[in-house]
Amino acid sequence: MLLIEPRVQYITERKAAKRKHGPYYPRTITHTEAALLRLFGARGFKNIQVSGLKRMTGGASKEQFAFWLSHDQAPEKKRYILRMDPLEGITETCRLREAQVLRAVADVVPVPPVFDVDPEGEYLGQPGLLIEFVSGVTKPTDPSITGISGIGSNCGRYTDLLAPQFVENLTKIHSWTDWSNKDLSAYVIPRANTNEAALYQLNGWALTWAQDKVEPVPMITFVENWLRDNAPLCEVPCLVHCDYRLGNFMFEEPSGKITTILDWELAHFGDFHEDIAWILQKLFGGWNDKGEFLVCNLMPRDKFLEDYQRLSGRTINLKTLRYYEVMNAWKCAIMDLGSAIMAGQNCNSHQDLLITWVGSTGAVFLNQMVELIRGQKHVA
Amino acid sequence: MLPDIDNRINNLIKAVEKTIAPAIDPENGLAQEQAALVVGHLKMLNTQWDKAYLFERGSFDNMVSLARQLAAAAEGGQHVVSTKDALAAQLDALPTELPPTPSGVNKYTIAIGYLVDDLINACYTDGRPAFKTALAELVLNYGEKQATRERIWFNANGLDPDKAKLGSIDDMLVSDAYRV
Repeated sequence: MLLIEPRVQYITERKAAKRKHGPYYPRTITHTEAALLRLFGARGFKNIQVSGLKRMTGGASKEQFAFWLSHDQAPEKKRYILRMDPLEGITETCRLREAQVLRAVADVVPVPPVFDVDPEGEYLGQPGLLIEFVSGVTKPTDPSITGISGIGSNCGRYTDLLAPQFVENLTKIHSWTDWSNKDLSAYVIPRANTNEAALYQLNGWALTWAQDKVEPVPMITFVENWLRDNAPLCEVPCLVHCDYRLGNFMFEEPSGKITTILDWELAHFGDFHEDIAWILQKLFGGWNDKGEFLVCNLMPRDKFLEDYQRLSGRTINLKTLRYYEVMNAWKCAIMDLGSAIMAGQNCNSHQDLLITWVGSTGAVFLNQMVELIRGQKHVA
Repeated sequence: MLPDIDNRINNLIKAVEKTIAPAIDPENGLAQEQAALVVGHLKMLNTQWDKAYLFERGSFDNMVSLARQLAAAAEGGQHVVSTKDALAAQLDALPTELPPTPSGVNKYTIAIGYLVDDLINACYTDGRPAFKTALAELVLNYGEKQATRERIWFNANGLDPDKAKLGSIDDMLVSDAYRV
Protein backbone atom coordinates (compact mmCIF):
# COMPACT_ATOMS: atom_id res chain seq x y z
CA MET A 1 0.00 0.00 0.00
CA LEU A 2 1.29 3.43 -0.94
CA LEU A 3 1.92 5.56 2.13
CA ILE A 4 0.33 8.92 1.56
CA GLU A 5 -1.53 11.16 3.97
CA PRO A 6 -5.23 10.95 2.98
CA ARG A 7 -5.81 14.68 3.39
CA VAL A 8 -2.74 15.49 1.28
CA GLN A 9 -3.92 13.13 -1.43
CA TYR A 10 -7.41 14.65 -1.28
CA ILE A 11 -6.31 18.28 -1.65
CA THR A 12 -3.79 17.44 -4.36
CA GLU A 13 -6.43 15.65 -6.41
CA ARG A 14 -8.96 18.39 -5.62
CA LYS A 15 -6.61 20.92 -7.17
CA ALA A 16 -6.29 18.89 -10.35
CA ALA A 17 -10.07 18.60 -10.59
CA LYS A 18 -10.63 22.33 -10.02
CA ARG A 19 -7.96 23.69 -12.31
CA LYS A 20 -10.24 23.50 -15.33
CA HIS A 21 -12.44 26.19 -13.78
CA GLY A 22 -9.82 28.86 -14.43
CA PRO A 23 -8.53 31.36 -15.25
CA TYR A 24 -8.39 32.77 -11.74
CA TYR A 25 -8.43 36.52 -11.13
CA PRO A 26 -7.38 38.37 -7.98
CA ARG A 27 -10.35 38.84 -5.71
CA THR A 28 -11.75 42.34 -5.49
CA ILE A 29 -12.41 43.99 -2.16
CA THR A 30 -16.15 43.92 -2.91
CA HIS A 31 -16.05 40.21 -3.66
CA THR A 32 -14.02 39.46 -0.54
CA GLU A 33 -16.31 41.50 1.71
CA ALA A 34 -19.34 39.64 0.37
CA ALA A 35 -17.60 36.32 1.00
CA LEU A 36 -16.76 37.29 4.58
CA LEU A 37 -20.33 38.40 5.27
CA ARG A 38 -21.57 35.10 3.88
CA LEU A 39 -19.28 33.18 6.23
CA PHE A 40 -20.07 35.22 9.32
CA GLY A 41 -23.80 35.07 8.57
CA ALA A 42 -23.58 31.30 8.38
CA ARG A 43 -21.87 31.33 11.78
CA GLY A 44 -24.94 33.01 13.23
CA PHE A 45 -23.41 36.45 13.87
CA LYS A 46 -25.72 39.46 13.78
CA ASN A 47 -24.94 43.15 13.28
CA ILE A 48 -21.82 42.20 11.36
CA GLN A 49 -19.51 45.09 10.55
CA VAL A 50 -16.51 44.43 8.28
CA SER A 51 -14.33 47.49 7.82
CA GLY A 52 -10.86 48.52 6.67
CA LEU A 53 -10.68 45.52 4.36
CA LYS A 54 -7.49 45.63 2.31
CA ARG A 55 -5.24 43.29 0.41
CA MET A 56 -1.87 42.44 1.91
CA THR A 57 1.17 42.19 -0.33
CA GLY A 58 3.89 39.59 -0.15
CA GLY A 59 3.73 35.84 -0.52
CA ALA A 60 3.34 33.88 -3.69
CA SER A 61 0.84 31.23 -2.78
CA LYS A 62 -2.15 32.69 -0.92
CA GLU A 63 -4.34 35.76 -1.28
CA GLN A 64 -4.26 37.62 2.01
CA PHE A 65 -6.52 40.38 3.29
CA ALA A 66 -6.62 42.31 6.56
CA PHE A 67 -9.88 43.62 7.98
CA TRP A 68 -11.66 44.74 11.15
CA LEU A 69 -14.70 42.87 12.41
CA SER A 70 -17.38 43.47 15.00
CA HIS A 71 -20.66 41.64 15.53
CA ASP A 72 -23.32 41.03 18.17
CA GLN A 73 -21.22 38.52 20.11
CA ALA A 74 -18.07 40.70 19.99
CA PRO A 75 -19.14 44.34 19.68
CA GLU A 76 -15.62 45.71 20.05
CA LYS A 77 -13.93 45.58 16.66
CA LYS A 78 -10.93 43.36 16.22
CA ARG A 79 -8.48 42.93 13.35
CA TYR A 80 -8.12 39.67 11.42
CA ILE A 81 -6.27 38.21 8.45
CA LEU A 82 -7.93 36.12 5.76
CA ARG A 83 -5.71 33.63 3.92
CA MET A 84 -7.35 32.25 0.81
CA ASP A 85 -6.30 29.75 -1.81
CA PRO A 86 -6.26 30.69 -5.48
CA LEU A 87 -7.30 27.91 -7.89
CA GLU A 88 -3.72 26.69 -7.96
CA GLY A 89 -0.32 28.00 -7.06
CA ILE A 90 3.27 27.10 -6.35
CA THR A 91 2.13 24.79 -3.52
CA GLU A 92 -1.20 23.17 -2.75
CA THR A 93 -1.78 23.07 0.97
CA CYS A 94 -4.72 22.61 3.28
CA ARG A 95 -6.38 25.34 5.33
CA LEU A 96 -7.91 22.70 7.63
CA ARG A 97 -4.48 21.26 8.44
CA GLU A 98 -3.12 24.76 8.95
CA ALA A 99 -5.94 25.59 11.38
CA GLN A 100 -5.47 22.34 13.28
CA VAL A 101 -1.74 22.77 13.74
CA LEU A 102 -2.04 26.44 14.72
CA ARG A 103 -4.58 25.53 17.40
CA ALA A 104 -2.48 22.60 18.58
CA VAL A 105 0.77 24.53 19.08
CA ALA A 106 -0.77 27.70 20.50
CA ASP A 107 0.79 26.96 23.90
CA VAL A 108 4.12 25.81 22.48
CA VAL A 109 5.37 28.71 20.37
CA PRO A 110 3.89 32.09 19.48
CA VAL A 111 1.41 31.64 16.61
CA PRO A 112 -1.55 33.68 15.36
CA PRO A 113 -4.80 32.56 17.05
CA VAL A 114 -7.24 30.87 14.66
CA PHE A 115 -10.60 32.60 14.33
CA ASP A 116 -12.32 30.45 11.68
CA VAL A 117 -11.68 28.09 8.81
CA ASP A 118 -13.66 27.29 5.66
CA PRO A 119 -11.79 24.19 4.44
CA GLU A 120 -13.75 23.66 1.23
CA GLY A 121 -14.57 27.27 0.44
CA GLU A 122 -18.23 26.63 1.12
CA TYR A 123 -18.81 30.28 2.06
CA LEU A 124 -15.67 32.04 0.88
CA GLY A 125 -15.68 30.55 -2.62
CA GLN A 126 -12.22 29.08 -2.13
CA PRO A 127 -10.72 27.42 0.95
CA GLY A 128 -9.76 30.03 3.52
CA LEU A 129 -8.40 30.52 7.02
CA LEU A 130 -9.04 33.46 9.32
CA ILE A 131 -6.49 34.30 11.98
CA GLU A 132 -6.15 37.12 14.43
CA PHE A 133 -3.91 39.98 13.39
CA VAL A 134 -0.60 39.96 15.24
CA SER A 135 1.59 43.03 15.30
CA GLY A 136 5.18 42.89 14.15
CA VAL A 137 7.30 42.93 11.02
CA THR A 138 8.80 40.12 8.94
CA LYS A 139 11.87 42.17 8.09
CA PRO A 140 13.34 45.33 9.51
CA THR A 141 11.62 48.49 8.33
CA ASP A 142 14.78 49.63 6.66
CA PRO A 143 14.66 50.97 3.10
CA SER A 144 17.70 48.96 2.06
CA ILE A 145 15.87 45.64 2.59
CA THR A 146 15.07 43.66 -0.55
CA GLY A 147 13.93 40.19 -1.48
CA ILE A 148 10.78 38.11 -1.94
CA SER A 149 9.02 37.04 1.24
CA GLY A 150 12.18 37.36 3.29
CA ILE A 151 14.33 35.47 0.79
CA GLY A 152 17.68 37.18 0.74
CA SER A 153 16.67 39.76 3.33
CA ASN A 154 19.23 41.21 5.66
CA CYS A 155 18.42 41.72 9.34
CA GLY A 156 21.01 44.35 10.13
CA ARG A 157 21.26 45.06 13.85
CA TYR A 158 18.43 42.62 14.58
CA THR A 159 20.52 39.62 13.59
CA ASP A 160 21.98 39.00 17.05
CA LEU A 161 18.59 39.51 18.71
CA LEU A 162 16.68 37.16 16.41
CA ALA A 163 19.18 34.32 16.01
CA PRO A 164 18.87 32.77 19.51
CA GLN A 165 15.05 33.04 19.51
CA PHE A 166 15.00 31.49 16.05
CA VAL A 167 16.83 28.39 17.29
CA GLU A 168 14.95 28.22 20.59
CA ASN A 169 11.52 28.27 18.92
CA LEU A 170 12.62 25.60 16.48
CA THR A 171 13.67 23.31 19.30
CA LYS A 172 10.32 23.90 21.02
CA ILE A 173 8.46 22.83 17.88
CA HIS A 174 10.56 19.68 17.55
CA SER A 175 10.37 18.83 21.24
CA TRP A 176 6.58 19.12 21.44
CA THR A 177 5.00 15.73 22.09
CA ASP A 178 1.78 16.61 23.87
CA TRP A 179 -0.47 16.14 20.88
CA SER A 180 -2.61 13.22 22.02
CA ASN A 181 -5.47 15.48 23.18
CA LYS A 182 -5.34 17.80 20.14
CA ASP A 183 -7.48 17.57 17.03
CA LEU A 184 -4.95 16.67 14.36
CA SER A 185 -7.35 14.50 12.38
CA ALA A 186 -6.11 15.85 9.05
CA TYR A 187 -2.60 14.56 9.77
CA VAL A 188 -0.94 11.17 9.85
CA ILE A 189 1.85 10.61 12.33
CA PRO A 190 4.51 8.25 10.95
CA ARG A 191 5.47 5.25 13.03
CA ALA A 192 8.68 5.58 15.04
CA ASN A 193 11.78 3.65 13.96
CA THR A 194 10.51 3.23 10.39
CA ASN A 195 11.14 5.09 7.15
CA GLU A 196 7.51 6.24 6.97
CA ALA A 197 8.44 9.85 7.75
CA ALA A 198 10.39 10.07 4.49
CA LEU A 199 7.93 8.00 2.48
CA TYR A 200 4.86 10.08 3.41
CA GLN A 201 6.64 13.16 2.13
CA LEU A 202 8.05 11.45 -0.90
CA ASN A 203 4.72 10.01 -2.00
CA GLY A 204 2.82 13.23 -1.46
CA TRP A 205 5.25 15.24 -3.58
CA ALA A 206 5.50 12.49 -6.19
CA LEU A 207 1.74 12.77 -6.64
CA THR A 208 2.11 16.53 -7.07
CA TRP A 209 4.79 16.01 -9.73
CA ALA A 210 2.68 13.41 -11.52
CA GLN A 211 -0.18 15.91 -11.70
CA ASP A 212 1.77 19.11 -12.36
CA LYS A 213 4.52 17.90 -14.68
CA VAL A 214 4.56 20.21 -17.69
CA GLU A 215 7.68 18.66 -19.24
CA PRO A 216 9.74 15.65 -18.18
CA VAL A 217 12.80 16.50 -16.07
CA PRO A 218 15.08 13.46 -15.83
CA MET A 219 16.74 14.69 -12.64
CA ILE A 220 13.39 14.85 -10.84
CA THR A 221 12.50 11.32 -11.94
CA PHE A 222 15.92 9.98 -11.02
CA VAL A 223 15.94 11.66 -7.61
CA GLU A 224 12.46 10.34 -6.77
CA ASN A 225 13.86 6.84 -7.22
CA TRP A 226 17.03 7.71 -5.32
CA LEU A 227 14.98 9.05 -2.41
CA ARG A 228 12.88 5.89 -2.36
CA ASP A 229 16.01 3.74 -2.31
CA ASN A 230 17.68 5.71 0.47
CA ALA A 231 14.76 6.61 2.77
CA PRO A 232 16.22 6.75 6.31
CA LEU A 233 14.69 5.51 9.53
CA CYS A 234 13.20 8.14 11.79
CA GLU A 235 13.53 7.19 15.44
CA VAL A 236 11.13 9.73 16.87
CA PRO A 237 8.83 11.60 14.49
CA CYS A 238 8.03 15.14 15.55
CA LEU A 239 6.21 18.19 14.25
CA VAL A 240 8.11 19.72 11.33
CA HIS A 241 7.26 23.28 10.28
CA CYS A 242 8.79 22.81 6.85
CA ASP A 243 9.11 26.48 5.89
CA TYR A 244 10.89 27.81 8.96
CA ARG A 245 13.04 30.70 7.84
CA LEU A 246 13.51 34.43 7.87
CA GLY A 247 10.35 35.99 6.44
CA ASN A 248 8.09 33.44 8.10
CA PHE A 249 8.14 34.89 11.57
CA MET A 250 7.30 38.34 12.87
CA PHE A 251 9.12 40.40 15.43
CA GLU A 252 8.66 43.69 17.20
CA GLU A 253 10.75 46.73 16.56
CA PRO A 254 12.85 47.93 18.28
CA SER A 255 12.96 45.07 20.85
CA GLY A 256 13.54 42.33 18.26
CA LYS A 257 11.21 40.00 20.15
CA ILE A 258 9.64 37.32 17.95
CA THR A 259 5.86 37.75 18.24
CA THR A 260 4.59 35.00 15.97
CA ILE A 261 5.66 32.17 13.69
CA LEU A 262 3.83 32.17 10.38
CA ASP A 263 3.16 30.01 7.34
CA TRP A 264 2.50 26.59 8.80
CA GLU A 265 0.87 25.39 5.61
CA LEU A 266 3.57 22.79 4.87
CA ALA A 267 3.78 21.54 8.47
CA HIS A 268 3.55 17.81 9.03
CA PHE A 269 4.86 15.10 11.31
CA GLY A 270 8.19 13.77 10.19
CA ASP A 271 11.93 13.88 10.76
CA PHE A 272 13.46 16.96 12.38
CA HIS A 273 16.32 16.76 9.89
CA GLU A 274 13.85 17.93 7.27
CA ASP A 275 13.51 21.33 8.99
CA ILE A 276 17.25 21.62 9.57
CA ALA A 277 17.92 20.88 5.90
CA TRP A 278 15.29 23.40 4.81
CA ILE A 279 16.75 26.12 7.01
CA LEU A 280 20.25 25.49 5.61
CA GLN A 281 19.20 26.20 2.02
CA LYS A 282 21.42 28.69 0.31
CA LEU A 283 18.41 30.46 -1.18
CA PHE A 284 17.28 31.56 2.28
CA GLY A 285 20.66 32.80 3.47
CA GLY A 286 23.28 35.33 2.55
CA TRP A 287 26.81 36.48 3.15
CA ASN A 288 27.90 38.90 5.86
CA ASP A 289 30.55 41.62 5.56
CA LYS A 290 33.31 39.05 6.29
CA GLY A 291 32.20 36.87 3.38
CA GLU A 292 30.79 34.31 5.78
CA PHE A 293 27.59 32.49 4.76
CA LEU A 294 24.78 33.04 7.23
CA VAL A 295 21.97 30.49 7.53
CA CYS A 296 18.70 32.40 6.99
CA ASN A 297 20.89 35.51 7.18
CA LEU A 298 21.12 34.94 10.92
CA MET A 299 24.15 32.82 11.84
CA PRO A 300 26.95 30.68 10.40
CA ARG A 301 26.05 27.10 9.53
CA ASP A 302 28.23 25.50 12.20
CA LYS A 303 26.92 27.76 14.95
CA PHE A 304 23.34 27.03 13.93
CA LEU A 305 23.96 23.27 14.02
CA GLU A 306 25.82 23.47 17.35
CA ASP A 307 23.20 25.66 19.02
CA TYR A 308 20.36 23.48 17.76
CA GLN A 309 21.96 20.28 19.08
CA ARG A 310 22.81 21.85 22.41
CA LEU A 311 19.32 23.28 22.97
CA SER A 312 17.36 20.33 21.64
CA GLY A 313 19.50 17.52 23.01
CA ARG A 314 19.27 15.89 19.59
CA THR A 315 22.16 14.67 17.52
CA ILE A 316 22.17 15.58 13.86
CA ASN A 317 22.99 12.63 11.64
CA LEU A 318 24.89 14.07 8.68
CA LYS A 319 23.82 11.29 6.32
CA THR A 320 20.16 11.85 7.18
CA LEU A 321 20.67 15.60 6.92
CA ARG A 322 22.07 15.16 3.42
CA TYR A 323 19.10 12.94 2.50
CA TYR A 324 16.68 15.70 3.51
CA GLU A 325 18.78 18.32 1.75
CA VAL A 326 18.26 16.26 -1.41
CA MET A 327 14.56 15.83 -0.68
CA ASN A 328 14.05 19.55 -0.06
CA ALA A 329 15.85 20.48 -3.27
CA TRP A 330 13.67 17.92 -5.08
CA LYS A 331 10.50 19.39 -3.53
CA CYS A 332 11.56 22.91 -4.51
CA ALA A 333 12.27 21.73 -8.05
CA ILE A 334 8.76 20.23 -8.19
CA MET A 335 7.24 23.48 -6.93
CA ASP A 336 9.22 25.58 -9.41
CA LEU A 337 9.28 23.40 -12.52
CA GLY A 338 5.90 21.74 -11.97
CA SER A 339 3.29 23.50 -9.88
CA ALA A 340 4.38 27.10 -10.56
CA ILE A 341 4.63 26.60 -14.30
CA MET A 342 1.37 24.64 -14.49
CA ALA A 343 -0.49 27.33 -12.53
CA GLY A 344 1.08 30.02 -14.71
CA GLN A 345 0.15 28.22 -17.92
CA ASN A 346 -3.44 27.89 -16.71
CA CYS A 347 -3.49 31.51 -15.43
CA ASN A 348 -4.92 30.06 -12.24
CA SER A 349 -3.15 32.15 -9.61
CA HIS A 350 -3.51 35.78 -8.53
CA GLN A 351 0.28 35.80 -8.83
CA ASP A 352 0.90 34.22 -12.25
CA LEU A 353 3.77 36.61 -12.96
CA LEU A 354 5.43 36.08 -9.59
CA ILE A 355 5.22 32.32 -9.57
CA THR A 356 6.60 31.96 -13.09
CA TRP A 357 9.41 34.33 -12.03
CA VAL A 358 10.13 32.14 -9.00
CA GLY A 359 9.64 29.05 -11.16
CA SER A 360 12.56 30.10 -13.30
CA THR A 361 14.87 29.23 -10.39
CA GLY A 362 14.04 25.53 -10.67
CA ALA A 363 17.41 24.63 -12.16
CA VAL A 364 19.18 25.94 -9.05
CA PHE A 365 17.65 23.02 -7.17
CA LEU A 366 18.51 20.53 -9.92
CA ASN A 367 22.15 21.55 -9.59
CA GLN A 368 21.96 21.25 -5.81
CA MET A 369 20.66 17.69 -6.13
CA VAL A 370 23.59 16.79 -8.38
CA GLU A 371 26.12 18.18 -5.91
CA LEU A 372 24.47 16.60 -2.89
CA ILE A 373 24.10 13.13 -4.39
CA ARG A 374 27.65 13.20 -5.64
CA GLY A 375 28.58 14.09 -2.08
CA GLN A 376 30.56 17.12 -3.11
CA LYS A 377 29.12 19.39 -0.48
CA HIS A 378 26.15 20.35 1.60
CA VAL A 379 23.89 23.01 0.16
CA ALA A 380 25.22 25.72 2.43
CA MET B 1 11.19 43.30 -39.57
CA LEU B 2 10.19 46.84 -38.77
CA PRO B 3 9.52 47.53 -36.00
CA ASP B 4 11.69 44.74 -34.67
CA ILE B 5 11.04 42.75 -31.49
CA ASP B 6 13.72 44.52 -29.42
CA ASN B 7 12.18 47.83 -30.32
CA ARG B 8 8.69 46.76 -29.29
CA ILE B 9 9.80 45.17 -26.01
CA ASN B 10 11.76 48.29 -25.12
CA ASN B 11 8.72 50.44 -25.87
CA LEU B 12 6.60 48.20 -23.63
CA ILE B 13 9.10 48.56 -20.79
CA LYS B 14 9.14 52.32 -21.17
CA ALA B 15 5.34 52.53 -21.21
CA VAL B 16 4.97 50.48 -18.03
CA GLU B 17 7.85 52.14 -16.18
CA LYS B 18 7.18 55.74 -17.12
CA THR B 19 3.44 55.98 -17.71
CA ILE B 20 1.49 53.04 -16.29
CA ALA B 21 3.33 52.32 -13.04
CA PRO B 22 3.36 55.95 -11.82
CA ALA B 23 -0.41 56.13 -12.42
CA ILE B 24 -1.14 53.16 -10.13
CA ASP B 25 -2.76 53.96 -6.80
CA PRO B 26 0.08 53.90 -4.21
CA GLU B 27 -2.26 51.97 -1.92
CA ASN B 28 -2.63 49.17 -4.47
CA GLY B 29 0.40 47.06 -3.63
CA LEU B 30 -0.61 44.12 -5.81
CA ALA B 31 -0.94 46.30 -8.90
CA GLN B 32 2.41 47.95 -8.18
CA GLU B 33 4.05 44.56 -7.73
CA GLN B 34 2.48 43.28 -10.95
CA ALA B 35 3.76 46.29 -12.87
CA ALA B 36 7.29 45.69 -11.56
CA LEU B 37 7.06 42.02 -12.53
CA VAL B 38 5.85 42.92 -16.03
CA VAL B 39 8.95 45.07 -16.45
CA GLY B 40 11.17 42.33 -15.01
CA HIS B 41 9.77 39.68 -17.33
CA LEU B 42 10.06 41.97 -20.35
CA LYS B 43 13.69 42.74 -19.54
CA MET B 44 14.46 39.06 -19.15
CA LEU B 45 12.64 38.24 -22.39
CA ASN B 46 14.75 40.87 -24.12
CA THR B 47 17.91 38.95 -23.18
CA GLN B 48 16.44 35.66 -24.39
CA TRP B 49 14.07 35.88 -27.35
CA ASP B 50 16.70 36.15 -30.07
CA LYS B 51 18.59 33.12 -28.70
CA ALA B 52 15.65 30.89 -27.86
CA TYR B 53 16.18 28.59 -30.84
CA LEU B 54 19.81 27.94 -29.93
CA PHE B 55 18.85 27.35 -26.32
CA GLU B 56 16.15 24.82 -27.18
CA ARG B 57 18.40 23.19 -29.76
CA GLY B 58 21.08 22.73 -27.09
CA SER B 59 18.50 21.28 -24.69
CA PHE B 60 17.38 18.87 -27.40
CA ASP B 61 20.96 17.79 -28.15
CA ASN B 62 21.62 17.17 -24.46
CA MET B 63 18.44 15.13 -24.04
CA VAL B 64 19.26 13.05 -27.13
CA SER B 65 22.81 12.43 -25.85
CA LEU B 66 21.48 11.31 -22.48
CA ALA B 67 18.93 9.07 -24.19
CA ARG B 68 21.55 7.43 -26.39
CA GLN B 69 23.90 6.90 -23.44
CA LEU B 70 21.15 5.37 -21.31
CA ALA B 71 19.95 3.13 -24.12
CA ALA B 72 23.51 1.90 -24.64
CA ALA B 73 23.95 1.14 -20.94
CA ALA B 74 20.51 -0.39 -20.33
CA GLU B 75 20.53 -3.96 -19.06
CA GLY B 76 17.84 -5.67 -17.08
CA GLY B 77 14.48 -7.40 -17.09
CA GLN B 78 11.35 -6.94 -19.12
CA HIS B 79 10.66 -3.36 -18.02
CA VAL B 80 14.12 -2.22 -18.99
CA VAL B 81 14.05 -4.07 -22.31
CA SER B 82 10.67 -2.72 -23.39
CA THR B 83 11.36 0.89 -22.41
CA LYS B 84 14.82 0.75 -23.96
CA ASP B 85 13.28 -0.49 -27.22
CA ALA B 86 10.67 2.28 -27.17
CA LEU B 87 13.38 4.87 -26.59
CA ALA B 88 15.59 3.47 -29.34
CA ALA B 89 12.65 3.52 -31.77
CA GLN B 90 11.92 7.15 -30.91
CA LEU B 91 15.57 8.09 -31.43
CA ASP B 92 15.60 6.30 -34.79
CA ALA B 93 12.45 8.12 -35.83
CA LEU B 94 13.87 11.59 -35.22
CA PRO B 95 13.76 13.70 -38.39
CA THR B 96 17.06 14.51 -40.07
CA GLU B 97 16.02 18.14 -40.10
CA LEU B 98 14.45 19.59 -36.98
CA PRO B 99 11.63 22.15 -37.06
CA PRO B 100 12.89 25.74 -37.44
CA THR B 101 11.19 27.08 -34.29
CA PRO B 102 12.07 26.78 -30.56
CA SER B 103 8.68 25.27 -29.70
CA GLY B 104 8.95 22.81 -32.59
CA VAL B 105 12.32 21.57 -31.34
CA ASN B 106 11.05 21.46 -27.76
CA LYS B 107 8.28 19.05 -28.75
CA TYR B 108 10.92 16.50 -29.72
CA THR B 109 12.86 17.13 -26.50
CA ILE B 110 9.71 16.47 -24.49
CA ALA B 111 8.85 13.31 -26.42
CA ILE B 112 12.29 11.85 -25.81
CA GLY B 113 12.24 13.07 -22.20
CA TYR B 114 9.14 11.05 -21.40
CA LEU B 115 10.82 7.90 -22.69
CA VAL B 116 13.99 8.73 -20.74
CA ASP B 117 11.79 9.02 -17.63
CA ASP B 118 10.28 5.62 -18.40
CA LEU B 119 13.73 4.06 -18.71
CA ILE B 120 14.88 5.62 -15.42
CA ASN B 121 11.82 4.18 -13.67
CA ALA B 122 12.35 0.81 -15.38
CA CYS B 123 15.96 0.76 -14.20
CA TYR B 124 14.73 1.00 -10.61
CA THR B 125 12.18 -1.74 -11.29
CA ASP B 126 14.30 -4.46 -12.83
CA GLY B 127 17.58 -2.93 -13.99
CA ARG B 128 20.84 -4.76 -13.39
CA PRO B 129 23.07 -3.23 -10.69
CA ALA B 130 25.65 -2.18 -13.28
CA PHE B 131 22.97 -0.29 -15.21
CA LYS B 132 21.78 1.40 -12.04
CA THR B 133 25.31 2.59 -11.29
CA ALA B 134 25.83 3.80 -14.85
CA LEU B 135 22.42 5.47 -14.97
CA ALA B 136 23.13 7.49 -11.83
CA GLU B 137 26.34 8.91 -13.27
CA LEU B 138 24.80 9.58 -16.69
CA VAL B 139 21.77 11.39 -15.29
CA LEU B 140 23.88 13.39 -12.83
CA ASN B 141 26.24 14.42 -15.63
CA TYR B 142 23.28 15.48 -17.77
CA GLY B 143 21.65 17.17 -14.77
CA GLU B 144 24.74 19.19 -13.99
CA LYS B 145 25.24 20.44 -17.54
CA GLN B 146 21.62 21.06 -18.46
CA ALA B 147 20.75 22.68 -15.13
CA THR B 148 23.74 25.01 -15.46
CA ARG B 149 22.52 26.02 -18.93
CA GLU B 150 19.09 26.77 -17.49
CA ARG B 151 20.51 28.76 -14.59
CA ILE B 152 22.49 30.90 -17.02
CA TRP B 153 19.41 31.28 -19.22
CA PHE B 154 17.36 32.59 -16.29
CA ASN B 155 20.13 34.34 -14.38
CA ALA B 156 18.44 37.69 -15.03
CA ASN B 157 15.80 36.75 -12.43
CA GLY B 158 18.40 37.66 -9.79
CA LEU B 159 17.42 34.78 -7.49
CA ASP B 160 20.31 32.37 -8.09
CA PRO B 161 22.46 32.30 -4.93
CA ASP B 162 25.55 31.86 -7.13
CA LYS B 163 24.52 34.26 -9.86
CA ALA B 164 27.90 35.98 -9.93
CA LYS B 165 29.65 32.71 -10.75
CA LEU B 166 27.54 31.94 -13.83
CA GLY B 167 28.73 32.73 -17.34
CA SER B 168 26.92 34.64 -20.07
CA ILE B 169 24.15 33.31 -22.28
CA ASP B 170 26.26 33.90 -25.40
CA ASP B 171 29.17 31.84 -24.03
CA MET B 172 26.85 29.10 -22.78
CA LEU B 173 25.23 28.67 -26.18
CA VAL B 174 28.53 27.97 -27.96
CA SER B 175 30.63 26.32 -25.25
CA ASP B 176 31.24 22.57 -25.17
CA ALA B 177 31.33 22.74 -21.35
CA TYR B 178 27.54 22.46 -21.20
CA ARG B 179 27.13 19.67 -23.75
CA VAL B 180 26.35 16.15 -22.57
